[in-house]
Amino acid sequence: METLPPEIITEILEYLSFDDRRRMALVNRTFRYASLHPALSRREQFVYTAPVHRLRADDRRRRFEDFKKALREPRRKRLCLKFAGTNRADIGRVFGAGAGWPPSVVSLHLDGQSRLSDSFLDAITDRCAALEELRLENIGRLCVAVKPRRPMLALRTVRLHRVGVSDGCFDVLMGCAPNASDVCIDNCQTYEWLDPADAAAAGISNAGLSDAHIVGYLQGAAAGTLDSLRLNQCCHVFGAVRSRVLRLKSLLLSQDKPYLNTCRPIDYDRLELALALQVSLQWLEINYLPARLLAAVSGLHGLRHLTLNLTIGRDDVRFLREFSESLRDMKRIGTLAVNRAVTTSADEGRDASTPDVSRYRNAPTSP
Amino acid sequence: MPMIKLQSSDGEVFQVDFEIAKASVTIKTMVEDLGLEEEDEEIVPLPNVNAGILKKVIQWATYHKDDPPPAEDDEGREKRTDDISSWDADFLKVDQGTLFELILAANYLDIKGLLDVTCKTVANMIKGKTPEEIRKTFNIKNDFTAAEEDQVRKENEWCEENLRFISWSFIDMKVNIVSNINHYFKKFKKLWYHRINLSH
Repeated sequence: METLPPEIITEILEYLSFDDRRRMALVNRTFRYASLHPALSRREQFVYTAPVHRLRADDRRRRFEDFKKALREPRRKRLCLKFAGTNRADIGRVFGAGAGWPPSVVSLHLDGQSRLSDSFLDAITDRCAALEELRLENIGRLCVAVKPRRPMLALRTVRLHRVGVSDGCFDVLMGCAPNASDVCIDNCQTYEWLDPADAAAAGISNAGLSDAHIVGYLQGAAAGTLDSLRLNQCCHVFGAVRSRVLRLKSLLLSQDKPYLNTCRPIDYDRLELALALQVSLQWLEINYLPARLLAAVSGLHGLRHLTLNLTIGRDDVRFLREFSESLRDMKRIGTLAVNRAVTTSADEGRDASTPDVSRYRNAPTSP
Repeated sequence: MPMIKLQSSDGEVFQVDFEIAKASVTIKTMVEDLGLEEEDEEIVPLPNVNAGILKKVIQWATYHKDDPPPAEDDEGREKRTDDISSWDADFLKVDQGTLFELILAANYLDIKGLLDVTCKTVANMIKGKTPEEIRKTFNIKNDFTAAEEDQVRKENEWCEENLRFISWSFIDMKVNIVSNINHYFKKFKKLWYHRINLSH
């Protein structure tokens, strides 16, 4: 088997699961080098997770140095990095001045930080010209100042999950990603994920990203490049966008905390209209929104992938009927999943405690 | 029917229907470049393939001559190994040496279908095995020094699968449904109504 040319070994490795590949790399040198092929490395990422148990400071540092050594492997052409639960000192070491960065980071995922400041954005704009994906999750406060930075032209995907960011800082961040085509804004307007004591310690006010500002961004800076959008807990802004400026291929609308909907009422008429106008959609997912949106979905004949988790009330049967009729026209559809979402609000169905699931996948029926 | 003559590395000549030989992109381009005609007595030499293997390859190509052309590779698509047809599985019940020679031949002759199915077979032999078992199965020598092995193990510790591909992976179950679409939706509607009635 060792006599096979490397490109064939890579081909074989592509059929293996990640764990199998990892074991394969331990067999001998040939396989180890084959496992470093960029075609495979694209599907793996390096994750630094903070130790669960408290470590002595020097142990912690050693562990981190080990991690950095692993990154220096010159053949790793496309690095995906994830940092989870790191403390401020670690982040300082990563993004501070003089940190040795491999030049080929294509994906960066930061999870769990009370605060990110200028040094972070300066570091990535300065050293990660190849960055394609930036994902920030559970960030208490993202505080960045306006100053000239090199725009990251390769950056296509920006995902913000539970990030405390103000209007101004959002603009600064997105200004560094002029070509962003895949944007996700998830729970960036509320801080209920954060312990109030933490929030006070981090000096966080409740002034988050405003609706009008997201609308402004979607209509202005993002209008030309955006083709994939995910909105969670801020669907109402999609209704407010002048839909003609967006031509999306992929869209996710979700309100996974329905009890918050009452605080911020959603104008479903406008949402429906905006959705109906996105005729170029190929991938659509709607979670925890009422079944009446089906009327808009019925007209989207270009869909290839459709996942719906809808709250279905008693009067919604007609939407379902119309929708199942319209499935006939969705000639391209490949995956279809329709579920009934579990709701906590009182006005929905009686059996709210048991999810009523009918999951569908188009399987070939033998002729 | 136009025939073509293929000569293996050990000199044996096989006469093959051109439509079958065309499965090999290498042979196809060779014939086109040389401008071979039907009545030509020209023989296409294949110095990298011996008679036994060439015979197997022709057997495979003959069985699969009516297959649709292989699909384009999809970026990010999870490759499956459990879709080997029973004929292919039987066909590939050979010793390891032959299997690897078939891979080399498929690679040299550029027959995507055969290369895919042979690679899948090898991948299936690897799945779920520990490094030591893999070495034993394929008779591979461990040429790592202890320090190197330790280093590789350490590196792998930090490595994780990129979750993006997991969360999107169910898209890949996409199946062409054009022919059965009406039948399928009828079934779907029935179920829907059934479900709605239940919940009210």
